[in-house]
Amino acid sequence: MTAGLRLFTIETRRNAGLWLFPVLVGLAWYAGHERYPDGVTLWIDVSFGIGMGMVLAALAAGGLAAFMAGRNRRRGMSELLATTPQSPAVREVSLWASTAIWGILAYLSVGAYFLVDGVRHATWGGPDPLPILVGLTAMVAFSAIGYAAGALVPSRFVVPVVPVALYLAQVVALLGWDRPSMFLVPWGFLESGHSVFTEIHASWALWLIPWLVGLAVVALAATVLRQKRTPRVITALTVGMTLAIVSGAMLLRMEQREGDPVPYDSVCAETPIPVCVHPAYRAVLDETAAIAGPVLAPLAGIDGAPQRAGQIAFGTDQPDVLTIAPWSSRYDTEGVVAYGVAADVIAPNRYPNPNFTSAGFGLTEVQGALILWLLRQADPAWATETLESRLPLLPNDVPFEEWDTHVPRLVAASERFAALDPAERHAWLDAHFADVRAGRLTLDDLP
Amino acid sequence: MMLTVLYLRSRQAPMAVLAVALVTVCSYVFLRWYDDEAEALHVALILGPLAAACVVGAGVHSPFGEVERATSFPLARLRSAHLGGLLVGGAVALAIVVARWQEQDAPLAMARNVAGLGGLALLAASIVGARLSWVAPMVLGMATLFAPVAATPWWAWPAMSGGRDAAWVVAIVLLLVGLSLAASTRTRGAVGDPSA
Repeated sequence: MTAGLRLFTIETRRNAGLWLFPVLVGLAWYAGHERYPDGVTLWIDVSFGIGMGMVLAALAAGGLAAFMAGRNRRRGMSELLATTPQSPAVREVSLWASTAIWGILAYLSVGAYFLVDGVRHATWGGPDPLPILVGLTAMVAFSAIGYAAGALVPSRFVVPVVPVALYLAQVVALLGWDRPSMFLVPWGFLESGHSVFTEIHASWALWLIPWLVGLAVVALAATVLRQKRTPRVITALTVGMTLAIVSGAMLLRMEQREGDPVPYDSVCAETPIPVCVHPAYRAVLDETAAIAGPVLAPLAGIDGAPQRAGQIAFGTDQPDVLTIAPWSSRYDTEGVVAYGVAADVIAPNRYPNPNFTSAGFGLTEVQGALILWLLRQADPAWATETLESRLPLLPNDVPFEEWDTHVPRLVAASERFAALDPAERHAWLDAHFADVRAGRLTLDDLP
Repeated sequence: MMLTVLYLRSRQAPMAVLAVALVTVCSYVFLRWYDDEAEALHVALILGPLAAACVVGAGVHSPFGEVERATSFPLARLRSAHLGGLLVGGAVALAIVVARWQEQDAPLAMARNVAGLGGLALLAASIVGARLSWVAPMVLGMATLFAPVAATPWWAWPAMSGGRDAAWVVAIVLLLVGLSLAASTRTRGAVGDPSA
């Protein structure tokens, strides 16, 4: 065994990472245990779930590395170690690697657990190495950055600030999701809306990996340079910087967040307005159709109503298809999902804000009344749940405190509409459906 | 007086005050930068107090633990004033940063989170040592940031509105337990790092 390897072994055994290993495993598991729809486990979700494990575990690994980087200084060993024949580069890299290995082991352990789960339950696709590799590289890079921070800034307050700073840096790059900086962040790639509808954005992952490796090399080289400047370390710093700059520039030039679309044939349920899902979600088609089918049934044949309801890839424009997600009890109750379907078909423009936040959110009273009617005719319990949960039914300029004053009018209007002759109701909807969806009618226009 | 000054210097209290001030400034800049983003407020309400709490936890460490234990002067009041002062200062400063936000009772939530996460950091400092005390609040804070916003789980109390009594109870209990332990027990090193 060489001296370097022996040093690494000793450092690994006598490392705070051993104590923090369960914490690292817990964080990787918590961040990665993706919430799949009931009964559907897809390999793409499993692969990205493994990668997502890094989002929290890498923060702790960074803090741990910062803690270990200051160990020799805390023990007053720096000068003594400087007199030993072992090169500072070997010492620093050995200590960093023996610390990083605990984070990597935690990440891989959780990854192995998710892989086994995938082998047992996955119904579509196959494991994809790219998100897993991005997560692994991020674990290495965050650990190296934390180590450099702990080694270069001699303060007790640096260690606890490192995980927070690493998290904040990612959030700043990601918030808004419309800045080029999001491409620099592994979390951005791992949360980029992966799905069975599109290929994995391979070029994003393939530039992220050298970017993260470059950052890690720069961080470690800077740590070693603090002690000794050798041509080898300066070369490593130069190579790392070149790698980071080139791959960072390539990432900042990217524009497309999603990969290319993957063609597929939907599977559909026989409802008045067909409810369709991607074949990967066949297992939840019946449950999905049992909610969306009855809600949409009265709109079959209405001019301007959707011809189909189902999943479509994010960003694709199919005006005659109402987008719905496969049913999952992990997301919401049946009543809330039914409300979403009714609101989407009656008031598609209620989110004027492209980020789907509540700013400017609004429905007209006619839309609120018709949503209630659609829910009540499908299942009265869903309408009751909508009212009891105070899901949005009113224009956004109505103060929340006035809910009880306004809602009875909507309920009365929806009951009046429900009492109409079906042919008369159909004819009115046929004539006014576009105006309803555009929010151009008032409650007095409703028969 | 001299003892107080020496005590505060041994805990790097001026640096801790500076670090808490830096956290406050960063929180302010972050919120101003993302003025209209509700998500930014959610992040700031947890991340700001988390950073402040970790700084306070790290401030518990003393390089003179052995010497202090040998003195007859009771340090509990000094420790309480030092740590409590840092927490109160951090809570007030961060609450002022979000004073103009009425959503989620933001100023109250900010103060509560500084108290609760700070208490957790002090509790951890008493158990695993000051240098690793950041791990406990970090795990809770980061897990809370990942918890679903719509249906906040019971353990993610830092994400709850500032008006929720249950979250306040948890925060105050953590603060009292953490502060009393940190004030009364001897300073110890970190696990896996006996000389820290």
